[in-house]
Amino acid sequence: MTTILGVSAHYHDSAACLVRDGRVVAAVHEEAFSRRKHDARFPVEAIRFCLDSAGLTVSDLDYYGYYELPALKRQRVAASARAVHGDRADAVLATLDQRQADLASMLPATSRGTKVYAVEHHLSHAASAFYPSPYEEAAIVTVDGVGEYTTTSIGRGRGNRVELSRRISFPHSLGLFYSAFTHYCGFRVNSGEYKLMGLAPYGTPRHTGLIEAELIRIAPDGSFRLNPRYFAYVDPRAVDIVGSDFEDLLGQPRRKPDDPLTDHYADVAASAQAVFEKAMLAIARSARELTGLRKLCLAGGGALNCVANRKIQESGEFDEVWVQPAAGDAGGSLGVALHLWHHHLGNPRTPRKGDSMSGSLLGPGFDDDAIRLTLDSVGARYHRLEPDQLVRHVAGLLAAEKIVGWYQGRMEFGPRALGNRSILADPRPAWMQRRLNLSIKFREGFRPFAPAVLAEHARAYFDVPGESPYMLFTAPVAESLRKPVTGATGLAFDTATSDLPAITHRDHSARLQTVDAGRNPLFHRLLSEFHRLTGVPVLVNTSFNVRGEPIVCTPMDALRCFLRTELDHLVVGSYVLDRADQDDLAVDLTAPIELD
Amino acid sequence: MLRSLASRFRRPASPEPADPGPDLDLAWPDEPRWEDGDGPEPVVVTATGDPLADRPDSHAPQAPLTSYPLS
Repeated sequence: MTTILGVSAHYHDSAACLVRDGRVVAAVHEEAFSRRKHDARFPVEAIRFCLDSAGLTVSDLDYYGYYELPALKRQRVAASARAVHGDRADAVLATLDQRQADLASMLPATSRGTKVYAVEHHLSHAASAFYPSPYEEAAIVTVDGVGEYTTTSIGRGRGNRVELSRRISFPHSLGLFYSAFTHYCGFRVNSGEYKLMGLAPYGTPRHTGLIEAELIRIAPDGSFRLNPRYFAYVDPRAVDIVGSDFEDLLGQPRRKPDDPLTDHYADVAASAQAVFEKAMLAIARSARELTGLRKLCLAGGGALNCVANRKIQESGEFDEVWVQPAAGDAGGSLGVALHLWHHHLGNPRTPRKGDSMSGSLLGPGFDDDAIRLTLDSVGARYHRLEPDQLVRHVAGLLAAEKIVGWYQGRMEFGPRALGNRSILADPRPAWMQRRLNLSIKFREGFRPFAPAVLAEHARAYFDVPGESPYMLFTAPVAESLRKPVTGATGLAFDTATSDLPAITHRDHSARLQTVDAGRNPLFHRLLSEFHRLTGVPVLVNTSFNVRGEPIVCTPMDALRCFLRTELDHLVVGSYVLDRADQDDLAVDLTAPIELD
Repeated sequence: MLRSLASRFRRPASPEPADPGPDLDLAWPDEPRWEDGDGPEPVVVTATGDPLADRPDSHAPQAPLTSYPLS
């Protein structure tokens, strides 16, 4: 048996992934353990989880995979320093932390003598997109901020081979373009991009002409170029991603994180999103023309933009589109491990129906014995139910408009909660979105929630061309369910837009998860029971955390989140907790959570 | 004149590049264009090891990490 440990680290979203004879058996973000969101540190605990849970030690590994080429990345940073600081570049570089540049020495002492295999950052993304996909052959597009030099690539996967043949290089970056607007609108870079996407439907894209004239040129073939004058990130020492020229261009200063959102920032978000979508569509078209293929695989942080993914899906350029659920840098750990197995070692690949991601349920899990130990240790009051009873009981709570923390099985790999570390609620009450945002998640009022829908009923409720198991495509809510958005302009958040207002965005779209019995049988059963009780096969599914906190990993994390919020019930494995029954639990709630 | 951006991708990326690499292409408003090329070759090195305990960015574990077997 060949055992490979893939690692991504030192930028954001560090992660580890264990692949045994070509099968992905474990993958997890470091933030799950460290409780530091988007943790970029070397993934010590993620590696330990991957090894411990398979009963392995470092000495059992045949290979390490590393998701990028540190020396080439350092070369690019040096080029940035030369471009901005000229003769002072060496002095500037001396002030930067370059420890992560040493590939051979970044791994544990016990790894001495083990082979370390590293590939280009975007090749890791491309491999993560193609190898687990259900396709024998497909075009590949990767889009993110930057790896070594490459920021965007087009390639092809066939059988067990992945090759990239076209690319755009730093500083011309669609990911950093989008992050610049994220920063301008007062959200955190490499974290708040999905907030910008969520804000966009409240605005009017009135600045697209200005943006395309001054900030970015997009050619019909999908290539693009940014105007470096406006993007401060070219300087490796820059603290902010944009400077005063960017603010002057858009006519107002950057929004500070606690400032109120105004229509100006919504309009900027709408404009940035529209330009981003235009570029993504052009790149996808170019990939189709270059490869002649009708299936597309996507990865890189840009592929987490589910609105753009939908535009590609409905453009007709491709018959099918598959997106890696851990499309960001964490997924690079999986990509390099699979590239090593298939491409470097030459092992054949057999695509599986659906995909080979096991529903992306690849992280830590805790059985009932471990859960009960945790509950008993803090004096929690609970009752235990068998699976049939559990599903009936929880569906009944949800139908009674209770909000439930739902913690089951193995944790999701990737940024989305897919029914194992989820907060669930009834999407029908008009007040549900507001309560979830303000009392449960403590997040901005404009942000919509995602629906989980039984896959077999998805087309009755949403205009969805295929499955969306990883919440990576938006879909319009069915016409028959919509309500006209009248009298609501700009940032009016409390307007019911459909019969399922908690999951319907201002533009009648929803960030859809289709749930099938194959990928997540228990969650499918719960949705089925809710459907039987209410006639609605849809639940609100939002990640089990509060704003600024990583998704809960352990039962204790779930308890903490339960106690910090106004969740009505907590369901951990087979155990059900009612908030009203709990009294002075011995849970340490002192660790601060920094809002993002 | 800037060096060809594509040229950087034709050579293997050694662990320690011998040259400083190409300058960034910062021209504006030049027409956008794709760079063609296979990209840098994968790198294989032998780990020399680094004690995790000595790493300045190592952090305390939160046990247990799982109770599920993965086989």
